[in-house]
Parts: sequence; C-alpha cells; structure tokens
Amino acid sequence: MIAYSNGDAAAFAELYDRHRAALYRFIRRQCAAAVADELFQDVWTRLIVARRRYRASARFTTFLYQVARNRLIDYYRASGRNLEDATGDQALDAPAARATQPENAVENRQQAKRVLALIEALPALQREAFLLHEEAGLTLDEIGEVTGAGRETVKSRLRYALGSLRKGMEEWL
Amino acid sequence: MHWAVCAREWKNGFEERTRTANRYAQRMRDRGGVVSQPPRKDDELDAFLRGDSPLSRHYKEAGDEQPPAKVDAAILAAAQWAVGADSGKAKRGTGGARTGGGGQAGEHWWRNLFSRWAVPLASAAVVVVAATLTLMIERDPEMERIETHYDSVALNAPGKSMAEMPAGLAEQEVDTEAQRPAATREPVAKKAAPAEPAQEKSKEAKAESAPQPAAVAPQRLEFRPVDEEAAAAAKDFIARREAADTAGRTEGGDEQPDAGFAADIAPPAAPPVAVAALPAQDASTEIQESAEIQESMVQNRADSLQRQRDSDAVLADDMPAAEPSAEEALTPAPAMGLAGAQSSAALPGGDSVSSQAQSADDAGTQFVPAPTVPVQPSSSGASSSGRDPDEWIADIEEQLALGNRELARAAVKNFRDRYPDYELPEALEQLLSANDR
Repeated sequence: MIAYSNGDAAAFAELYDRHRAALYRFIRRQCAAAVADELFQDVWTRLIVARRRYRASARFTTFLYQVARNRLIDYYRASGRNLEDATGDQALDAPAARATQPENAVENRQQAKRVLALIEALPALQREAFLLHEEAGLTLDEIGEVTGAGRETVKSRLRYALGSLRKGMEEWL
Repeated sequence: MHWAVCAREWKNGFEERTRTANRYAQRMRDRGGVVSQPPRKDDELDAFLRGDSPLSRHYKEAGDEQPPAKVDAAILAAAQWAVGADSGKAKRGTGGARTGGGGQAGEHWWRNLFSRWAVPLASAAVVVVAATLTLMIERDPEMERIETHYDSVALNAPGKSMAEMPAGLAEQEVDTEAQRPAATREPVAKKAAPAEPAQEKSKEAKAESAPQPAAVAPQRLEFRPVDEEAAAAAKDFIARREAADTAGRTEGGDEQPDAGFAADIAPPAAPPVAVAALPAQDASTEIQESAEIQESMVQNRADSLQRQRDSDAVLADDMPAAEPSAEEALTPAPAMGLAGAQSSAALPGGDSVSSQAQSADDAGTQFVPAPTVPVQPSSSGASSSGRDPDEWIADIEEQLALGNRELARAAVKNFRDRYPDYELPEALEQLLSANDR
C-alpha cells in the first residue's frame, strides 16, 4: 500500500490480487450479491482515495477489513437494521437454496450449501468473527481490533458460532 | 421444625424446576428445534483457530466466490487513474515551467523553479559570504602591519623614508603634522613607542607570508611647495618666539636651548641646535630651496655652533650684557629676513637656519625655530674699553680668516666706532668700506 501511495500502480494490482477473493466473500456472506459487488468496489475505492493518508501503523489486512466492516455497518444502518440484530441477506436466499437443493446432489455440495446456510443464519457479530478468521485469517486479537471488542468477547462469539454450526452440521460431522 | 419445613419446600421446588426444564427441552427436540448449548471446552475453538476444524474444511469447500471481472477492472482502472493523476500533476508542475504553459501550471512556474534552485543558491551564497569574510579577516593583519609600519616611519623611526609611503599618505602625514599645535607634538613622539610592539607583533604574525620591510636607511624629508597659510602661521609663530627669546635674554636669563623644539625639526641624530637666528624675510619672496639645503643645514649646525662660540669672544666686547640688542651686533642679511622678524644673532650659520625656516615654509609646516642662545660676553668679563686694540684686531682678522666675514665686518664696525682713529689693516679697511657701500 505504501508503494502504491508513492505512485506504484503495480503494487496496488498485487495487493488487490492478494485480498480480492477473501474480502469479496467476507462481504458476500453478509449481504446480497448485488449489494456485495457494490460494497466491495466501494471499499477499494475508498482505499484508493485514501492512499496518501495511509500510514503503516497496523497490518494492512486489519485496515482493509476494518474499512469493509464500516461499510457493512453503513449498509445495515441504511437498511434500518442494527449490526447486533442484523442477519445475512442471504437468509432470504437460503430457503430457496435449500428448496432448490436437489435430493440427489452430491453430498459435498450439500454440505457446502448447508454450511453457507448455517453461516448466513448466524447472528451478525458471531458471523463476522467467524468470517474474519476464516477469510482474513485474523487472530483473536486482530478480530478484536477490527470489531472493537475484547479478546474474550471474540472467543465467546466464536464459541457460539462454532456450536451453532456444529449442531447444524451434526449429520455430516 | 421451621428449618425442616423450609428445606423440604426448597427440595420440592428444585425438583419441580428440573422437571420443568427437562419437559421444555423434550418439547423443543420434538419440534425439531435446536437447543443451543455453550461449548463446555475450548478444544473445538482451538482446533478452529488452528484451521483443523471440520467446519473450516466444509466452509472452504462450500464456495470460492470471486468478485466479478467488471468489478476487478473498474477497481484496477480507478487505481491506475489515480496514480496517473498524481504523476500528471507532477508533470504539469514541471512541464508547464519548461514549455511556458499557461493556466495553473504557469502560475507555479516561478515557485517550482525557486524550490528547485533554492538550496543550491543558498549554499552558493553562504560559500561566497564565508569566503569574503575569510579574506577580510586574513587581510586585516596585513593592513595593520602596513599602518603600523607607516606610523613608525612617520613618528618613530626617523630613518624610515616617507618616500616609501604612498604619495597621498605622505602628504597626509605632513599636513597632519603641520596642523598639529606645537604643544601637542611631544606626546606624538611618545605615541610611537606603543606602536613598536604592535609592529613587532604583526611582523611575527606575518613573518612567513609577508615580506619583511626594507632595511632602514636614512632618508630626507621632502617638503612640498610653499603653502601661504602655513608660511604665514610659521612666520607669526617665529616672530612671537623671537620676541619671547629677546625679552628673556634682555632680562639676563641664561637660557638653554629648548631641545623639544629642535627635535621637532631636526633629525634625532643631529646635534642640538644652539642658535636659530631667523633673519627678516619678505613673506612674499618665493624661494626655491632644495632638499640639499636642509641636509647642509644639518651638517653645518655643529660648525655653526662652534663658529658662534668662537665669534662670541670677538663680539664680547661689542655686546654689552645689559643690551644684547641684535641691531648692535648683527648685520641684517640682505633679502633673507622675515618681515618684522628680529634676529638675535648674526652667524655664518644663519643662512642655514634661514634655509631651514624656508624649507619648513616650503613644506607648509609650522616652522619652530630652535631657541636662541644668548650671546654672552666672553668668560673673561673684560670690557671693551679695557681691551687692547691690537688684540681685538687680531681676533677680527682671525674671524675673517675663518670665513666669518659678517662677524668680522660687524666687529670692524664696532671697532671703528670705538677707535675712530685707529689705523686698520688693509683687509679690514676694505671689509669696512664694503660694509659702508
């Protein structure tokens, strides 16, 4: 990011390629696909605009997902929901996914869909903590830094999230 | 009793609450619901954080969504545009200056140029100032040495030539000396003493780099042409001095030569001027005395002094101690006396002294005559009336033989006045007759 702020466009391309998929999934798991595309582009645009103000005071991944989280919160607020109460937009899609799930589908495919459905059904804070670890690879402390929560709070959220997912996946675990 | 009742009721209540919870859980399970239970151990969380959790594997297998290509293209294009905009601004900032382009780039033309050359220009200015100061500091001791040198030449070292000075400086030295009152000249001579250590100090400082001054050699003062004002001032001063000397001698004082006055005009090596007779001279007379006269003046002083002493014996009888009037003893030098000046003694050296005065006039300086030595009668104390005429004649002839023609002439005149009938030798008679003419 520092190289890009100094005018190296190739550095931005490398940075984008490194984080684009994970960030997109992080956003996509918490909102609809159309909204995810918009938010994803908006996050990167904000980074581009703020390139001169960037200071390498923390890990770039933490900074990037903090920006993405803020954008999601803005989106939630614009939708009239709070982060604590928000559930994934895909909850609307999940039933359809379940409904369209063919009974003779491949077992792995069913399991994936089931996992995604269970993640979408998680409370926003638990889902956020789960995704920050799975997609961004953040540690407990880094998750706490991004979300503004303490380490034990993050652990508790992860415990509940894992328990819910385990219960939902009991038949495949 | 009361305690037993309370314990039984509490036990019944606890069992009731347990049965109620179990029935609730059973109903939830029957309805297909999930009763969340907090994990009792962190093994599952630790495995998840390590990436060994089965849930993580299922999640990774669930999907690998990628952002749409158009979104990627849009983001990369935006990033590229932003970098290009930055470089474009920089190019406009400098390129506008080169091409003289108008607009905003042209407005910053001088600013950009100044910012580019500010540091080099500032550095160059600092170097120039430092070099200038260094040269000035290095030059100061040299100037001090030169000034000290000229000061010592003018004030302290009589052997130093004023000709070594620049022409303007030499003239300035002479003018300064001429304008200085006689009373303040004595300290000036003393001022040369502290200048000498400074000169030595500067010589030590510049011993290696600066050439040593030339060897000290006797030099003559070179006087400038006559300055009318200075000449008038000198004449006035001389007249007043003459009057004072005459008065002092009239009172019978046994004055001694004033070495201070003599030192002002005479080189230190020269013998003290015992007699300074200034014959009357017309102020308007233009005299073209050369420096050789000054030199001959110095050389003849000793002889003049000696001749004066010799002539004292001749004139002793003619000059009463109570009336040492010059008119009685002196024959005015033709066309050589200062106007209104009364000489105190007519000596063969008078010409030299008058030349000295004239030379001082030429230099435009205040000529300070050496105090006169009153001509006293001979130590024998013999009066003129008791002197043997033959002996007197012999003395006069001796003076004439020595070349003291004026003295001899005056003495012959006095002799004739005293002894009108005495037959003079032919040489003295011719001398007297020449005087009469």
